[in-house]
Amino acid sequence: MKSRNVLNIIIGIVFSLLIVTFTLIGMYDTKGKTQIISSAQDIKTGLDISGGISAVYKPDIEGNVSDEDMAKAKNIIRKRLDNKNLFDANVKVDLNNGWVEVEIPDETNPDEALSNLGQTAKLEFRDPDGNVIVDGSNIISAKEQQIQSEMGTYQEVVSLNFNEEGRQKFSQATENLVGRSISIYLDDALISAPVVNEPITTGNAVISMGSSDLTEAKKEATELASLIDSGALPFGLSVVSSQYIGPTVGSKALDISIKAALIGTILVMIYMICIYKLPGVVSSISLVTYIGIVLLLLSNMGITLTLPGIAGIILSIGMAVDANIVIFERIKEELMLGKSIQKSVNLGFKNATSSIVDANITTAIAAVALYVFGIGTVKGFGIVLLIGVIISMITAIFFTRFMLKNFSAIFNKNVKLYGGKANG
Amino acid sequence: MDKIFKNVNFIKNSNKYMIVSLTIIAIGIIFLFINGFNLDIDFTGGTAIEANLGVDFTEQEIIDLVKEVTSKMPTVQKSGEDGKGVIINFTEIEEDTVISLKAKIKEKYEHSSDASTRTILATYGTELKKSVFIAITVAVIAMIIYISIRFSKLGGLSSAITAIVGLVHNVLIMISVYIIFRIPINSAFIAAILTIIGYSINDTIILYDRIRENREDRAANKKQTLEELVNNTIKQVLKRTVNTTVTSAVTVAILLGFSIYFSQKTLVEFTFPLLIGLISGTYASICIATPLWYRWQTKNKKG
Repeated sequence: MKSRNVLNIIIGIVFSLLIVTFTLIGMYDTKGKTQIISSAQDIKTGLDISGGISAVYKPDIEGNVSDEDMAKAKNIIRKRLDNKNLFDANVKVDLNNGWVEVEIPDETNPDEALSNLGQTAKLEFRDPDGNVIVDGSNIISAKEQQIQSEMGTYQEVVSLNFNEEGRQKFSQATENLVGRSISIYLDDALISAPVVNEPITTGNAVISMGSSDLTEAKKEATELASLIDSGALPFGLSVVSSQYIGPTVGSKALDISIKAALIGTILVMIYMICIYKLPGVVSSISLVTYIGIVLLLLSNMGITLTLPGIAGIILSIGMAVDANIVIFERIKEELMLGKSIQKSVNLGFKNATSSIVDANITTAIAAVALYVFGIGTVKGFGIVLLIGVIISMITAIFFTRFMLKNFSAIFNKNVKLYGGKANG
Repeated sequence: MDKIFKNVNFIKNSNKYMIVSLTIIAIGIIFLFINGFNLDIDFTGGTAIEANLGVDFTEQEIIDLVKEVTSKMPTVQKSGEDGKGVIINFTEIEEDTVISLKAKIKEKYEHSSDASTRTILATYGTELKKSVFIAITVAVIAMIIYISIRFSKLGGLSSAITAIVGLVHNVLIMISVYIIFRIPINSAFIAAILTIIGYSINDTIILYDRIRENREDRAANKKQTLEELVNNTIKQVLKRTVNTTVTSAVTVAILLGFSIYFSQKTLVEFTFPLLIGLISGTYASICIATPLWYRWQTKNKKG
């Protein structure tokens, strides 16, 4: 009987060690190349910690916007960010509020990163009468190019490729308009009005940049190409909020929070062991396991951690310890009533479970409401709290009970070990 | 622990406890009229530019610098442990002006850090307020329903409402702290309030659960009046409550201590109200919510 308990305890401790290891360094597959389990270091930190840019855009039109259009807008913005080599950027659509949220972590140049991001970029080629010949939907691709003109000077242009329909239309139009000009409009503003020298049947066209400074022109060309290439947004976007947070601001706060959390946890463990002795030791193992599981979940579920999120974690750690305290106090009471150690442990868990479940479910309800109805920090806080509460319930009800039951089967003579007073 | 509280009658003294709470809240209201809410642009909308200039400066210097770029009037604040940080707030300002302003700051103060900027549209601030209200209202209603059902033996609705009263009490105390100490009310404020809501409801429920259980055992203790039952329950749960508060408060207090030591203003502004909320939460569960529940019960029985 007792050897079985020892085995169980060893299994429990091994489990804890595994969790801690994964939390610290994650897990890689057998070849050591792909990471299967992300570690705590892989947790995404919010802008308030890592610094970066965040912008929220709202469509410029009255009434509701279709989910389709929002998805389109998201893809277009994503493409524009990629064209700027901002691959770490995050684009999200909030359908409830009709917003597009853009987050660019670690970016130190907000003005460049956000420039033109929300521009509609409606491109139109019009004939002298104002009729639209071709527009952005006829363009397959656009890119920046440097070409040499016949006179030998270099010029920055945006080179466009039309689709078949566009090629035909453009070919016909240029045939009819030799010697006259075709005006190119971007968002109803004229950007170029070249004269047609000969019919263009290749389906290619160039827009030359006005700037004489080649570097300046190259920048313009790259931006314009990116805008055209990503396509026109179904609507204009205006900025609802934008933030640029310097990276040094938050990282120190994160540092301090981690140190404080570590010291706090150690102090709590010491306190628990002093007051509850053996169960205190068990709860300390539980606590470490709990923190590990929460961090692993946050990391592997890709949840972004913000400073308020850290508060949520600290709160749920407090509640996890609380669950243990409720249980241990019950055990002490049962012991004082003269019951055997093992019986006290069982009764303690049994009686305490209902109050722990009630309390945690109530908090979980609040967390869900926050997650569903909240925006921004409130939402992030909600999910972290929810995870913390659920895991703390599971850890207390299963892991702590498992370990303590097995410990108590072995150390079942000395009441003092459980914080009780020796009955005299 | 038992010995200290042995003779305390929590129910009889509940009036005193309520007076203490109301006093704090009243002070808060008075300060509200004097100081007003220190609403951050998260809620009011506007632009905030923050940077460490690397040298000492006067607020007038900054105002003059702003005048060179725009006619909008800013509010200027000093910040940071060395007093060399500046926070410039505008209620409304264009993006280009922000860019020029940042450039001007870098020009004049060569050693200044990269400026952080935040622009929030007033409508976003309203959305934020709205969403917080909705979220909390839904949460409270859901909690009331759940508690009423689970604690139907304790009078269902009465237990739910008194628990929520305890919650409201904690939130009011926390808000008073924000007002009295002029702490900015921003997203971090919301997170702190939510943390305490979650925490204090937890506390109150554990207490109610015990009362429910003791009540069921009451068949054996017919001699006990409800008042005695409640008082004894509180004492039973007291150890656990104190231990829990100590463990949670210690962690937050350490964070607060570190934040003060390293002059992390945002963290201090976050953890200090949190600490007050934690203590107030425990206090409210024992001294406010439970005695209130008792009154509700006895009033109904006698009436």
